[in-house]
Amino acid sequence: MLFLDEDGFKRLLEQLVSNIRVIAPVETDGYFEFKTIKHGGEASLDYSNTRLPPKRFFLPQREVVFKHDPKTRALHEPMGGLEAVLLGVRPCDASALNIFDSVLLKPPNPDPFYESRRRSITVVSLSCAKPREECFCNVFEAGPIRGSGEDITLTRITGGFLVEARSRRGQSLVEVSASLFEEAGPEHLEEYGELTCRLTREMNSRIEISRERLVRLEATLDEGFFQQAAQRCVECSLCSFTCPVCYCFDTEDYFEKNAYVRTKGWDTCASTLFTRMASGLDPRVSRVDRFCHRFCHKLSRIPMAFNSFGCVGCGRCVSLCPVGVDIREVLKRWG
Amino acid sequence: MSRAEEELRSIVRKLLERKDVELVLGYEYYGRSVRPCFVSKPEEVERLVWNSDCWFNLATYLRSLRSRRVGIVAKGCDGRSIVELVKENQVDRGSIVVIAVECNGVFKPFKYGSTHVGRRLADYCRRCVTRVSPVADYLVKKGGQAPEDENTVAGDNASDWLSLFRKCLKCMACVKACPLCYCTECSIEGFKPDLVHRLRVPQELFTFHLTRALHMAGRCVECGACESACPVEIPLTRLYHELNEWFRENYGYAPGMSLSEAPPPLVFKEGGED
Repeated sequence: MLFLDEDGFKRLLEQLVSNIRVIAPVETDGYFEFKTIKHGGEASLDYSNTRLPPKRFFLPQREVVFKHDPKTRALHEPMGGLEAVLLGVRPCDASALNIFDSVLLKPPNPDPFYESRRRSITVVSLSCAKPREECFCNVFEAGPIRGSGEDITLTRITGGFLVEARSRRGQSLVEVSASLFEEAGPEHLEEYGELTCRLTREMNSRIEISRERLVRLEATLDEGFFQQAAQRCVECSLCSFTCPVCYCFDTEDYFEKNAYVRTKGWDTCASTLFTRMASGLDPRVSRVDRFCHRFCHKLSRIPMAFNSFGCVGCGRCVSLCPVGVDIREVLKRWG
Repeated sequence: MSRAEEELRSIVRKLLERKDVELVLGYEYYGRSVRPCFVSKPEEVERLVWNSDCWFNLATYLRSLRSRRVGIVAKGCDGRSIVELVKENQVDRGSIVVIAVECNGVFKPFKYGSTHVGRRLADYCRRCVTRVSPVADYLVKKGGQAPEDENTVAGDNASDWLSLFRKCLKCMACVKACPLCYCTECSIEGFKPDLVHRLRVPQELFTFHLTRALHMAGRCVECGACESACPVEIPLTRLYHELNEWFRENYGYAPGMSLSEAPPPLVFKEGGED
């Protein structure tokens, strides 16, 4: 592990900003948003978490798959992402990228759009110092100190940051500015150990569940419980759209400026039309079915297929849901 | 527990014990926030709360409970939306029991990652015209004063709607939280026929919001449920308020104020004086 003092961090940030596109949390209208910054001072690292996850840099709300001009018969496939450094991602949101990797990069048909973006963006996470009230990342081992999808993990300690390179790409970023870093001393490591202990204890005191039991959620479904909880749901798609993990997409074709355009963008299982087929048949016809599906998919089906949960415990859906649907209630009941 | 809460619980207990209603729509605590709850047994009434965090409009649920006899806790604006729903034949006045609660305004809800520490009175509550529901079977007086507003700056005055709409995720929370947005085939949801393309953002975000605004003109009761539900805090109620003002000036009609007053679009005659 390496140590980077405050001054070194500022210099590193300036170096990065002048060389590459840097995306960092910026405060706007009372909350934090990921934005491209022009100089190091714009970035704010004193945030609980950004309101929206950094998902859109990897899976944009809408992207063009191809354009076809019927006159010239030219086919245009926009592709590739800009090289960038995504700084200040919380460990939970970084862990979501790990789930994307297992789902979207699964051979033999990896998503080329996601792949190119994932390759071009270096993710630098920043450990949580004060987890939010609605956070439960400990349940899925997605934080609060280390996540699982980042290239570099930064942890704030007295006088600077502890730096841990988590991938080859992270390692090379550290090597470029090697002079700024120093080997972490025993006092740094001791502080890190204490911080980890304190935060883990704090998170575990809020909620602690058995992951093995949770995976069996779908098999041991309690209809009554879900019927009660689903009564409240108004079926907006806020929870999916603000979720760092929800990756379902839909495509749409339209004609624009002399070209046929195929777009790909976010879709949501909360929508009544998500599973409706052309014939009119809908296997998920009731509100309870759709409501159950969201939890079963995240907590039961994804872990069975990919060995990691489809939730990272960031708490966005808990806090932003207009009617207070709380995934922690499901966790406490089944975990 | 406040006096008003005590009174509310005793009314609901009575209604459920006498089997006047099958179910009562109210509010309950979860964490430090308040959410809707459905009470169907007299022993569950202890869950019910009433305070300035109860911003959600429970009338949204009435249509899905049409076949049942339900009681509903209603603020002034919620009552107005019930009136509009009755006038639009969506809800049968006879099958609902309105427990009106005197409201002094609600706070903006706690939002994820917000840097505001103090509670702030919602902007739309500053424009409130009725603190008590125009229809009521029971009335709970609050007896308190207006909530303490810790906001030092008056409501934000961002007027650049395009940049506000650009933040939109099209998550439909505004539509689904609205009691008066009840179309089963929503034109802006963007499915066949594609009246508004779902994935054509940001070009069609304007169309999306303006279509909704036009559909709400002269109907919106400004309960603010859309605005408070919005994850990116677009001040939608302000837009609908401006349209309502236009409607009031031209037709002399304010939505949801009385059951006998017909909505102008329903009685409009082409070329006539009406």
